[in-house]
Amino acid sequence: MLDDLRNIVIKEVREMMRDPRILLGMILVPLLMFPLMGLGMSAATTSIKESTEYISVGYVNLDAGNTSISLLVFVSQNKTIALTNITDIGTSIDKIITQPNCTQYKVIMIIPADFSYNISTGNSSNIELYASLSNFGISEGLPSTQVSSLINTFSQIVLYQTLNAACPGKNASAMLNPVIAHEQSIVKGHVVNYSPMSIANTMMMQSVMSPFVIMIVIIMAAQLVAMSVAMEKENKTLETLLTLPVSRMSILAGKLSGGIVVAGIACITYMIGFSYYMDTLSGFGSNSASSIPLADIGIKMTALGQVMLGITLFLSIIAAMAIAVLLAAFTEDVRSAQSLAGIIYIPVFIPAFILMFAPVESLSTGVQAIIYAIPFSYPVLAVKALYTADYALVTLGIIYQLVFSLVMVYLAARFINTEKILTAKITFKKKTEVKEL
Amino acid sequence: MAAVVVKDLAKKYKNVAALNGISFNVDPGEIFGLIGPNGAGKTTTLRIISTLLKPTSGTAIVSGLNVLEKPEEVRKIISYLPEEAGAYKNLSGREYIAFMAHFHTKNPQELKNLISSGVQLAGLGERIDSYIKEYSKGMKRRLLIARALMTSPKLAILDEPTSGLDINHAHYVRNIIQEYAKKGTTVLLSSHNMLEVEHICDRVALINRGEVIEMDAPKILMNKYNAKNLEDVFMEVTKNAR
Repeated sequence: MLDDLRNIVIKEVREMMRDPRILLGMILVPLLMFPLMGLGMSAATTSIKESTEYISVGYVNLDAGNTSISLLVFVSQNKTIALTNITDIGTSIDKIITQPNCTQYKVIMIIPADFSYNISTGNSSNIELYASLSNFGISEGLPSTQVSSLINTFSQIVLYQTLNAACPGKNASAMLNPVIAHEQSIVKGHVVNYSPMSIANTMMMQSVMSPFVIMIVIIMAAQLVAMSVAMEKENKTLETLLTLPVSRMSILAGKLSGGIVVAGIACITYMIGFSYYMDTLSGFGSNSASSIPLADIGIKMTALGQVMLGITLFLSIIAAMAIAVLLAAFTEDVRSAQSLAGIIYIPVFIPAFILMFAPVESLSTGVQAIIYAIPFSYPVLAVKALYTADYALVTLGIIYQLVFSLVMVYLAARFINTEKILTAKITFKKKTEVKEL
Repeated sequence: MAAVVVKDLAKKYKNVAALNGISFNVDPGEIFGLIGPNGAGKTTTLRIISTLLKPTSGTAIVSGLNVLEKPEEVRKIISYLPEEAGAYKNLSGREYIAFMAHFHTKNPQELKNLISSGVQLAGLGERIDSYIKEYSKGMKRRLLIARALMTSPKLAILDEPTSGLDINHAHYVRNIIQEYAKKGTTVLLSSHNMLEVEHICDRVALINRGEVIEMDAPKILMNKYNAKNLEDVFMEVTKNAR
């Protein structure tokens, strides 16, 4: 039995890994696509970074006071800013934009005539910033934002100076923020020095990424097994296989095991490509600053939790593959099998997407019942549950999944044991009358 | 003991009757041909004997084993070659032979000998190591025949073994079938090429519309109907049946 199983698994892996549809579509394309996407993003990121590394600012200073001079000195101290006085080409924006050489400045800054006076008298004063847009990309928007940010910082400095001058001996910062709320969290009976939202955001990252990976693994495994069964039919090898001195259960187990092996390889290449892509993205608007090392606050998955997650994922894969075998048995070729196996997407994607954004407890009773009834929900549920050591839910889920998977495998084995594996197909023809051949 | 005993075999697909109670026996070492036009019921009969289909009624017994009751035992002593059989396109011919041989023996030396015998039987030379997707139809059929006969099965069930092959490949396949029958393998084959069957079959059963309409050695049938060949016999018999 084991020899036969090994023989079938080796054949399955060879067949699938050498099939251009699988090799290209499920292994090479994800391996290349994500790094290429990453390179594209990297190029975009570099372009955006470069746009803020040298910002040419043309300014018109209509103010005669000292504050505007201080502002210009403050802005010019920033290494990325190159200030140029453009008063000679015009003193109003309407005039300036008619000059051809104004386009060399990424930002045009106009300081109004009463700037210093307004500030010294306790009034606010507007500085006009103009950025010329041509392709409407982020790289065109960032220089103006950076200059604006510098002006805001200058504004804060002025505010503190004013307060210090008005109230000598007082803490300006304390006067501006007399009441401060210090958010902390209680996790598993311990106070941790992180706000609830920052912990929730970090957990959100986990609950978004994990379902994504889980969905890919389950769908890939199901698609591969559906393709494998359909290839037997399409290549007219199934009849021969079914008349060999090997049990039908070995054939089914061999197909499922072969599917797991190739899906595992496909998933690894997928994740290599994807992690490269995510690494590239992390250099652009990273969230890493807000992410919290969960282990530091006592939220971590134990070795037992990891094993349980593995079991629940494995059972999901087995159930999905057994369903895929049953579906593929009704088709005549690979393309039809892939289409029909797409039915599995529904119970895999829907709970994963719902659980990405909403904890199961927050859902209505009806939706919860549906989520719990779908066996593919459990790996997603298990990720969060195991972080919080809620083993009871995962254990019950594993028991349910085990029963479901066994039933599906039993049905697939029963199906393979009948002639329906050869004769079953989905047709929409009208019934024909009895006739003799 | 007869190699194959088929008695009152009937098969219906939903509302369509494919077999209407056919009966015949095949003796050990015999080459027995089922001949008849397309849709006569030849393939259905072979599929039932090969344990792929279950009959609606009747029995099929191979070397004393009822195909319905002991299908796994039957599969150990038969070898079935379907009419439009394919092979795993992404394996080489040698890998295919090895894959099939693994199911017949676990002994390493026997396995090696079996693979060697299969490779030799296929007669594909160096091309045995090419991927099967690169084979011509004739090469593929030779490989499949080699797969079916390399184990010297008690019963080889060959559905249209030379269908669609050119004269060289067809000649090669026919020679191998006759060679293995001489070694003791019983061969049950189907064909709608009656002239070919006439040359290699010891006995034939003429099937039409799911019924055996005549059965005997080709020469006896030709004498009986005063016909030049089996094709004429078939036309004569079906004319009387109409």
